[in-house]
Amino acid sequence: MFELIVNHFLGNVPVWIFPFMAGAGFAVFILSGIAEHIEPIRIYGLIARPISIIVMVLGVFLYGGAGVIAVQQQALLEAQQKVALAEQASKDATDKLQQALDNNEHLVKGRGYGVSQVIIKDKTKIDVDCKRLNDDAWEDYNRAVKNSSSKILGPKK
Amino acid sequence: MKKLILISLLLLTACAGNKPPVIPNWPTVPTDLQLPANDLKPLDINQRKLSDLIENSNENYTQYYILKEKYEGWQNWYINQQKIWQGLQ
Repeated sequence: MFELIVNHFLGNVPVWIFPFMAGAGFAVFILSGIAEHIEPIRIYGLIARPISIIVMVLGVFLYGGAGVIAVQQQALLEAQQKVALAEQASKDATDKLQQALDNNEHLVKGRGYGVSQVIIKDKTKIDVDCKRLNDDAWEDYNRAVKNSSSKILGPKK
Repeated sequence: MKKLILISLLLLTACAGNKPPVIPNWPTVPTDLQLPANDLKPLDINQRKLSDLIENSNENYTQYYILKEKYEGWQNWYINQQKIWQGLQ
């Protein structure tokens, strides 16, 4: 209920209404107190007194609510600006990282290609002493290459 | 009258105290870091020369360094995003 008042009512009513309500309520409260001592209008004073208290209390409460909503709107604006800046900083950091990753991958692949070219060039010299790997060496090598993890953490394929 | 002033002060606080409801978007991750990691390449049964072994090792080392870059990329991404997020608190 409070939220409804704050968000939908207070935002659409001029703020001066609320101190005016409180002031008017207070004035009527005083006048009704005087009226209670004047016999011909005593009955009006008795009726007006509780109503004036309600109007005064409501006016003070709504004035407080209007002040809070103004503060909250300001805080909301500041928070939105802060979040917008953070999101931009996040995007910039991600873009910069993407660029660095692309660049580094290009360098790594380039180096791998360069080494590959050297191996091709030296192929004859390399294979002079070892024309064929024995079965155990081949098997051991492939055993080392094989991944034995459970794949629990890996992406689903 | 004193009670009236006290009640008025309490009423003036209204519904103060709530934080403004602003939720930042979840940060995006570089697309390279979202790709699945390739397995190391075993030596083909028909490639039994020493040069084949070295070539295969070269490919696997290249693969390793690419994955190392991605691993460090994740660390870098996390640290940067954490700093930005903590700045919002």
